[in-house]
Amino acid sequence: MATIDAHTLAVTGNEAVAEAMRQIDPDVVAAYPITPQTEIVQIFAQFVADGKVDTEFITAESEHSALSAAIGAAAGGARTMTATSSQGFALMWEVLYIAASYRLPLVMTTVNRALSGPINIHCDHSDTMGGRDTGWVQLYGEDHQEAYDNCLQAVRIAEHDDVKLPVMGMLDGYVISGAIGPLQMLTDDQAQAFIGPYRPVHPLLDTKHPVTVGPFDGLHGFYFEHKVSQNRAMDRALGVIQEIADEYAELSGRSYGLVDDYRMDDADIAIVVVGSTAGTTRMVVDQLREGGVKAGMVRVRVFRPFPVKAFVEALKGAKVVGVLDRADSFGAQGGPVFLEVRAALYDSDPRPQVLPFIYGLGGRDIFPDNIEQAFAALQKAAKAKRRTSTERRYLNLRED
Amino acid sequence: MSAEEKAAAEKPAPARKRAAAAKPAARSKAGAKASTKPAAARTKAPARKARAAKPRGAKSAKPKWDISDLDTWGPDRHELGATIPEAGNSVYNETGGWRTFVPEIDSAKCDGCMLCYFYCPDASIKIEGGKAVGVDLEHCKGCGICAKECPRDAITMKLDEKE
Repeated sequence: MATIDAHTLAVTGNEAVAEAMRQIDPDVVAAYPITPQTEIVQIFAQFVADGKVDTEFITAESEHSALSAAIGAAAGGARTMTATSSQGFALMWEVLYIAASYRLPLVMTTVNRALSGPINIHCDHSDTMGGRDTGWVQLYGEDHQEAYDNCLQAVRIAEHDDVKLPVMGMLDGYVISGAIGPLQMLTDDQAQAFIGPYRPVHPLLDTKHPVTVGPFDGLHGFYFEHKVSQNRAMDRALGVIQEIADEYAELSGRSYGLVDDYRMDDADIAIVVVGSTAGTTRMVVDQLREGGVKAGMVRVRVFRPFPVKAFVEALKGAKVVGVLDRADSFGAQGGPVFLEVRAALYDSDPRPQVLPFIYGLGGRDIFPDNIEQAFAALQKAAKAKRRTSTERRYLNLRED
Repeated sequence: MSAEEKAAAEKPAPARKRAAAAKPAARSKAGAKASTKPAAARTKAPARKARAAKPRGAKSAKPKWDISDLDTWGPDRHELGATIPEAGNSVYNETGGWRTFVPEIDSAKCDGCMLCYFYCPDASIKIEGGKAVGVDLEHCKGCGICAKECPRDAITMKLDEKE
């Protein structure tokens, strides 16, 4: 995505996010360090210490506390951000739901890392994929540039009147967070003008209009209605995300869709993938195309809300679709992205075959070879007379 | 009533004075949006009597946030994130419906220490003439804190007989 010119910076993914946070200059950041996210809050804490931001930085004693403090700050009326990874994300579990159900427009960067056990610090998506039903909007970035761009857009999405939901922006642990890559930034003024001022709804600190946040639902029970209200906000978020991406494109020259498709126009076989592996997949698609294979790729940018129409449109005409999941859903029919994509294509006519692939768990490398193997399986399925088994296929697994 | 009890009832404790002065102020703030009548009454009469004049739970005025037809509300009509956008509106809403036990106050035993009044989480103890005389059953949840705190055992918790 990133263009390389005299204005291009060489930064780690974490630096890119920290720079976005500096430009946003949130009122409050409450965070707890965890590998591989630590660098984000470490750099940001330095910005606070150096007076480069006016943020109140709360060093919490755990991620549960960090998100709880962030929720309190957001309920108070502050533009609030945090960041986490893996076990920290898991420790936030119950409060993730609280943030979403209170309709607080928090923005959190989650650097994807495997969940224990065995204890593992490397990249996979099991942390945030597990949190896909918490009511947060989920944006999955591919590279350094998108980690930065998504962070700025997340503020606008979360605070939009039609949405008012927390947004988490993801980047792959180490592959992006720790590796150096190119980044083009808006100027500080451009970034501030883009995000605009924050106008909270019913802030607790507006003492002239006292309100109660987080009351008991009562014996009458309106929980059901509130859940439906959350889901309606999710539905509206789809349009808002695209609207804001278009506005951002005019400003930055970098355009984003709900999905990011590559050479899909006449593709017979396609791979759906999340995060940094899209880069490798594009390269393999190009190689296959050179060999006359009509291959394509669709990258998931927005996973919650799930853009069904965008997937159906992008995958139209594909005979076989392989979904590469970097997280598994134990006991389910496949990984979380597979389940969504397969369900989305159920009403397509003709209905393509959708095959589940699991790769990269606990940071297991994914090489071009492995993606070629996946495409080979799709090609074989496309030629087969009978429908192919939808049992999981594992890429770069050591078989016994 | 013993002479000692009488003296205690007639001679207000400093704490009681503060409570009597502070409480109507808080109430007038909460009710100011919708009600002007009680506020006028309060300025004329001594604070303690004003409390008795307008019992807690009186629905003489409408709140700004009208939830009288709440049972018919769909998902889009509810406040964002279930926030209650108005303070003090429990005056307009009965919240005591889930009580199992109800406090029974023996005012003859009461020496006016006001501990029940201060401890009550729902401000449901009715005070008249410096003594606990009853309970606002539209808001009392039957938690029993008043009975536990009363140093003179003037409050007992009885099973709430519901019709």
